[in-house]
Amino acid sequence: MLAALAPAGAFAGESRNLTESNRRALASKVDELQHSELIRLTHGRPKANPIPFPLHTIYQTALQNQELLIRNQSESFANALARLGKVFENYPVELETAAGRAAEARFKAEIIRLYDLAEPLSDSTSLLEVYSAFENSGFGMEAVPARAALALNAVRWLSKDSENGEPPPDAAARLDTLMRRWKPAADVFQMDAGLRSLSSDYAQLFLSVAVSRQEK
Amino acid sequence: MKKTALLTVFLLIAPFAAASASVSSMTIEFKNGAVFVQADAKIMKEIKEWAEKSGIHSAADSKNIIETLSGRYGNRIQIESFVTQQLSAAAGVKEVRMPLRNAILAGRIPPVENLSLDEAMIVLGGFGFTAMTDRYFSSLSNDMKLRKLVETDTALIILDGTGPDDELKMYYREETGEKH
Repeated sequence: MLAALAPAGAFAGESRNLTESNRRALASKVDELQHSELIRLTHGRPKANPIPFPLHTIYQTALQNQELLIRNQSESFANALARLGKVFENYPVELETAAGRAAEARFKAEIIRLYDLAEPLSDSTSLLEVYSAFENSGFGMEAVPARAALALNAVRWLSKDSENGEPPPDAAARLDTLMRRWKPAADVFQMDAGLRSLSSDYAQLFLSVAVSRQEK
Repeated sequence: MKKTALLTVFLLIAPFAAASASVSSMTIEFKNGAVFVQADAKIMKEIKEWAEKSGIHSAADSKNIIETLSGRYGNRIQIESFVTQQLSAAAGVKEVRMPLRNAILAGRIPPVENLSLDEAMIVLGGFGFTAMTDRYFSSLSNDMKLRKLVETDTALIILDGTGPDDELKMYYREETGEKH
């Protein structure tokens, strides 16, 4: 599957390496945590069937089905990458501007940053956090194309009618802040709330720009 | 004396009461209009049966219905047709409908999500669009809608709300194109 991504992005090779490093990081973290997790969940009294039910699925998935986690995450990456490519195709004029190129570079880097689990896994202190790292990564990548589209749409309209074809400097600074903003989402509802909030913030930026244009 | 007076009143109103009771009406609705039919109950029953058999509720061809019913019943029935004119049906006008979030992500309009409708109008107006609420737009005659479209250099944007799933309608003149 990842081989099929080669034409889609120049960083497909990097992604292949990341899949391997994610796989190794997950195996090593699960190995490191499984004993302490077992002790923690059973209060130090291991029994024949010691895992409390609500955490059973997460525990078993992380322990026994590591490949499923890795495959789901790499599929999320592939989907997000393909949709990101379509977003870039939709904004060819904006990608010629400095602000557009900066947005393109930022979101390409963002999708790689979210795919790389080295840091989130090294910070995990329980198998639940290991699982959450995968969820945050998957939903984070899924939101990247929409975030990129919001940013490039803002570049399109802010640079419209400007003399140098770039967004005005005061709006550009706020735009840069909005491009960076993302609150990790552990499920589809949190992702939707995050996008809704981000889209509202872009709208507020445009409201202030429109009002200041009216006043001039 | 009293009885005679009551009887007289009854005899006077009885024919009208009988006549008004026997007349009934029905409305056949279509996607873009309706036909209103009024006739006495016996004819109306026949028309209803015919309507159900021929499935005219989905045929949406009011002209044929009027011709058929007039030919069959002549002036024993009253028929009126109503046509809802749509701006998109006018020559050279293109209509695009989509959820607001999709329009923003596709770059068709600047971001206005979750602003109040008044604020959204300010933003859209500030970036060259003519925008109005769906309620106001619906209250305009078709001629007024066309005039509004002609007056704008870009597109006419009709907003129902500013939620991500609220429907956005855009009307373009074909010569101005979709993107600005």
